[in-house]
Amino acid sequence: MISAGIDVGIKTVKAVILRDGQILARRLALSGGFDRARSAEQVWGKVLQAAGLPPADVNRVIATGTGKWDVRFANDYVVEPLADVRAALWLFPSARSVIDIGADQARVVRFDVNGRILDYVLNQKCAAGLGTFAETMARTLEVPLEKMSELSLKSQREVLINAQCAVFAELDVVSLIHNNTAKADIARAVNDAIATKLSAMVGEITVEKDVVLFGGVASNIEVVNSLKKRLGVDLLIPEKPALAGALGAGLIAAAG
Amino acid sequence: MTIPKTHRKWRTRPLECWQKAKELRQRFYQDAATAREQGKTPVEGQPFVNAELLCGVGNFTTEFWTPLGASIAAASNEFSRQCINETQMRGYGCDTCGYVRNVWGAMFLNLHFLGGEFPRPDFVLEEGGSCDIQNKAGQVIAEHFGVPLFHTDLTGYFCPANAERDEIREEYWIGQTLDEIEWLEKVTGRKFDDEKFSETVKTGLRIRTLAGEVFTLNQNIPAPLDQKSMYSFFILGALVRSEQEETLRFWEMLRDEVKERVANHIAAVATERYRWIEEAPPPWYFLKYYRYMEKYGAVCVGSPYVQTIGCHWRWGEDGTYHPRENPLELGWPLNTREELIRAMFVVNRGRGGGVGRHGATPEATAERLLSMAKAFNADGAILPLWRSGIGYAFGMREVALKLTEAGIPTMHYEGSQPGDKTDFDEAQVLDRLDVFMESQGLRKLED
Repeated sequence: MISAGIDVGIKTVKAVILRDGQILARRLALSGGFDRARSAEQVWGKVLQAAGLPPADVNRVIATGTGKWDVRFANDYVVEPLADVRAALWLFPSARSVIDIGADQARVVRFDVNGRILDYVLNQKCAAGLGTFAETMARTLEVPLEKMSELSLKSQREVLINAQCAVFAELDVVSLIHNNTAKADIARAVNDAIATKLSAMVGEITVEKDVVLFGGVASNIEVVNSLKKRLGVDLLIPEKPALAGALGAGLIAAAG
Repeated sequence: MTIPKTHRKWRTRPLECWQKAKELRQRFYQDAATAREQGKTPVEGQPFVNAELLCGVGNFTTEFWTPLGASIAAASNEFSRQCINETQMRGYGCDTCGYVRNVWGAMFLNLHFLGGEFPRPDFVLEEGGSCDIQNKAGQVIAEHFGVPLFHTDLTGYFCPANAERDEIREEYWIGQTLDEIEWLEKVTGRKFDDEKFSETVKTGLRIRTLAGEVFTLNQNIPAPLDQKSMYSFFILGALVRSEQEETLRFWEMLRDEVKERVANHIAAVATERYRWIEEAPPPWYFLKYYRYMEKYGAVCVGSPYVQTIGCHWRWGEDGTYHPRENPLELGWPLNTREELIRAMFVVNRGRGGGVGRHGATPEATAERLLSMAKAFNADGAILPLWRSGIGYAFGMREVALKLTEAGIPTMHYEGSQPGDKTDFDEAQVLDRLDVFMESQGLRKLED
C-alpha cells in the first residue's frame, strides 16, 4: 500500500510518501505566501517525482498542520498531536512523550504504548519559543537562521533577554546591539530564551521518558542542549525532525 | 452541515418557551433604553445591586452594566470596538474589564446598542465585590452624568469558609442595605413601600429556587438544555430584573417544560455523545463555539458561573446537585426589612467566602468543578484564560491540573476578556477544539 502524509505549516510544507509503512520519498519547501493550497500541490508534485510515482498510485493521503484544510487532494485530515504521536512511536518505540516546536505552534504530548494521548499542552497566543520568534531574532541580528546555533557556540559571556514576549525580546536585542554586545552572546541569549520558554511549557504536563523532539527548532543544537539541561532529560531527535508531522500523517494513512 | 440519521441518538425539539424568554430579554433592554418615555426612572446598577429595593420606591428600570457590556459584545463587534476605543482614548487601560469598557464607551458616545441615546440615569447603585474594576464602574457613570451614587461594600475572602467572618460580612452588608433604603428615600423623595419590597423579595426567592430546579435537571442524560440556551435564561430574574411576576411565571413554565423533556428523554442535542462543563463567562462574541462542538455530538451541560449567579442550589450527600431550599420554604420569618434583606443576602450573595467563584480558592474551585463533572456526567472541561477578568483566570491552571489528574480531560483557550474580542483568535480556538476532541478519539459527525 502506498500512503502519504502532508503537513502544511505556516512557514513550510512537508510531504512524505510511504510504501507498506516504509519511507519512499520526502520533501520540504517554504509555504510561499498566502496560497497554501498551491504550495501544498507544488510540494506534492515534487515528492511524487522523487518517489517516481503518479498521483493515482497513492492509495491514501492524510493532511495535517494549520493549513490541512487547504490540501484539496487529501482523503482525510488529522490533528497535529495525533500525527506527532504516531511518528514518535514509529521512530522510537520506547517514546512516551513528544515535544514538537513549529513556526507558530508548539505542543507537548504524553501518550501510552498504544499511542493513546494521555495529556497534552499547546502554546497559547504567545509566540515566544516558537520558530517565528527564532526567525525574528535572527533577522534582527542579521544572521541566517541556520547559523544561529553555530554563532552562539562562540559566546564568551552570558547576557539575559526577556523570555516572555517576542516583541519585548526583539527590543531587548536591539538595545544589546546598541550597547555593542557581541552577536555571539546575543545569539546564545536568544537560544536560552527559547529553551526557557519551551521548558516552562513542558513543565505544564508530566513528561514521561523517552522524550522525542520534533520540529524545525530541533535542528538548533544550542536550543536542544539548553532544553536538555533545563528539563534534565535526554531528547531523542530523528534525522529530519521537521518532517515528523508529515511522516505521522502518512503512517496513519497507511493504517487505513 | 448534514448529520446522518445514524448519529442521532435522541429525540429533540426546540424549547416552547424560547420565544417568551426572548421577549422578556428584549423588553428589559427596551425598557431601560426608553424608560423616560414610559414614565419610568432609569437607574444604572452593577449586577449584584439590590434592585429589589427600587420596587419599594417607585417605577424604575435598572440597566445593569455587566449584562449590557456582554450584550454589546454579543450584538455587534463593530459597536463594541467603537465603545472600547472611545474608552481607551480617554485614558482607561486595555486591561480594564471589557464589559465596563463597552458600557462606558457607549455612554461616552451617547449611544445605546438597540438604537437611540444612552439612557441618562437619575442615580447609580454600585456594589463592590471581588471584581476590582466593577467596584468602580458606577463611579465613572455617576461622575459622567453628575448624579448621586450609593456604593454597597460587599466583602469577600479567599480562604476556606469561616463562620465568624461570614457573620461579620453578612451583618455589615445588611446594615449598609438598611442605609441604602434611607438613601433612596432621600434621593427619590418617596416613602419606601415595605409591602411592595416584601412581595418583590419573595418573588425573587422563588425565581432563584425555580432556576435551581431547572439547572439541576441538566444532570440527566440526555441533557434537556444546552449551555448556550441556558445563557439566555440564567440572568432572567438574577442580573436582568424586571417584571418579576412575569419572570416567575416564565421560570415555572421553563421548569415544567424541562421536567417533561427529562421524562421523555428529549435532548437539547440529538447527537449527544460527549458532555462537557466550563467555568467563567464565555466569549460573548463567539458563542457559536457551542454549536461548533455540537458537530462532534458534544454538548455543554453546565457551568458553575451560570449556576452560581443564576440560581440557588446545593450539593447533596448523594453526590448530585439539588435546588436549595430558599428562606421562604425553610420557614424563616420574613416580616421586617432586616429579615427580608438577610434572605436576599443568603440567596443572592451566599455564605462561605465570596460571591460565587470569586470567593473561592483554586482548591475550592477545583473541588466544585470536579463535583459538578461527576454529578453532571461530564466527559471533559473547557476553561478560558481571561487576561482581564482576572478574578476568573485566577487559579484556572491549577483547576485544570486537578481535573486532569482526576481523569477529566481539560483544555484552555485565551482571550482578553469575555466582552472584548481583542486578541481572541477564532481560528486558533476552533483548531484547539479539534485537537481536544480528536485527542479523545472523537471525529466530527458529518457526511
